[in-house]
Amino acid sequence: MPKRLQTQWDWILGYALIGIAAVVITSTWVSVSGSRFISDQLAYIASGGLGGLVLLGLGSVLVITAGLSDEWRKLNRLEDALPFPPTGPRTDAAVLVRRGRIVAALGLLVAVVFLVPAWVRISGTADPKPGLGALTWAVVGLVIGGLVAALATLGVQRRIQSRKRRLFAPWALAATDGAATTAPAAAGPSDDAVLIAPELTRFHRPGCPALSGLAARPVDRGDIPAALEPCDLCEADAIAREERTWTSVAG
Amino acid sequence: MDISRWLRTEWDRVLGFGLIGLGAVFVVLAYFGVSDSPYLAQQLSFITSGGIGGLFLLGAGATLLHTADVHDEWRKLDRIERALRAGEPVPMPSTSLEQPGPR
Repeated sequence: MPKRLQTQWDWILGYALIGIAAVVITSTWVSVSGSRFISDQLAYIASGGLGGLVLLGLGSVLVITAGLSDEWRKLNRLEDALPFPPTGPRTDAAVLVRRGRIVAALGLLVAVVFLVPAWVRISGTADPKPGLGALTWAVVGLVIGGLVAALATLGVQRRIQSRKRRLFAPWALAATDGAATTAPAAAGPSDDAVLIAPELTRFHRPGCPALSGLAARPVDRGDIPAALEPCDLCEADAIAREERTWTSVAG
Repeated sequence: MDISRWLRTEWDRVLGFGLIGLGAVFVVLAYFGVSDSPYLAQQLSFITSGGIGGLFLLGAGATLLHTADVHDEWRKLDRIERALRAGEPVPMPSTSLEQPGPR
């Protein structure tokens, strides 16, 4: 159990913060609906309501970056299994997410900096008018903090996507070369074919590493099931884009 | 289709979409509650339950959906790693073809 805590502290803390946020928001609702004084209600909303949303933001950032950090570790392991040297300098997963988490925490700190004075102002007066104004500023702070946290998390995700593109570039090139050398008169589906597998929710170019070990079958571009999305690894979205362009030109 | 197996493997996605749907319903109900009530105290109660509660559900649902996507990526990467370790042929990058070196 202590080892699990050591390795998965971010998952545990993240889900715990989301759970605490749920409890705080529920108890705030109970307090607000049980109070007859508007100034009291505003104070509860500023502390428990908006504070609960800050906790939710912190928990979400921790859970999402924990997932991305694990994905980075898997990419490190996968790179070890490749028969050629690493494509670039290797970064530790903890270092990758640390910066994103610090920026996200600073963003949410901004929200708290707006929130605390607003709560002090609201709870210090029985007049609801200045309280409503202070609450508006607290909401503005929360929006700014949420945006900063979201952008910081997005930054981590973009680094992972760019590493995956670099790592799987040889497959993508092989897929492109393979498609270029395919004889147009070959039997079966045309060279516009993409590959799909029953286990997958995306369609792929021939040679995509995501299909390794799976029984994939070729389908023509026009027959791609609508529910399937293009694969990011082999950039099958290029096929989807071409298809859309063709459709719009044809009317 | 085996529903129980699908629910077991896709629980995070199902729960995520469920929370987002519920959050949207909460927000809409809060809007109608606030617009129908003439009392500020009652309106604040609707804002707390439906507005802030709905935002919480939307945020938690979005987090779960993102986690579900990350789990899909894990499965994909695990499959690629298994295939590599099983000796599937790997295309070599052009830079490493110039300087081959087994690891």
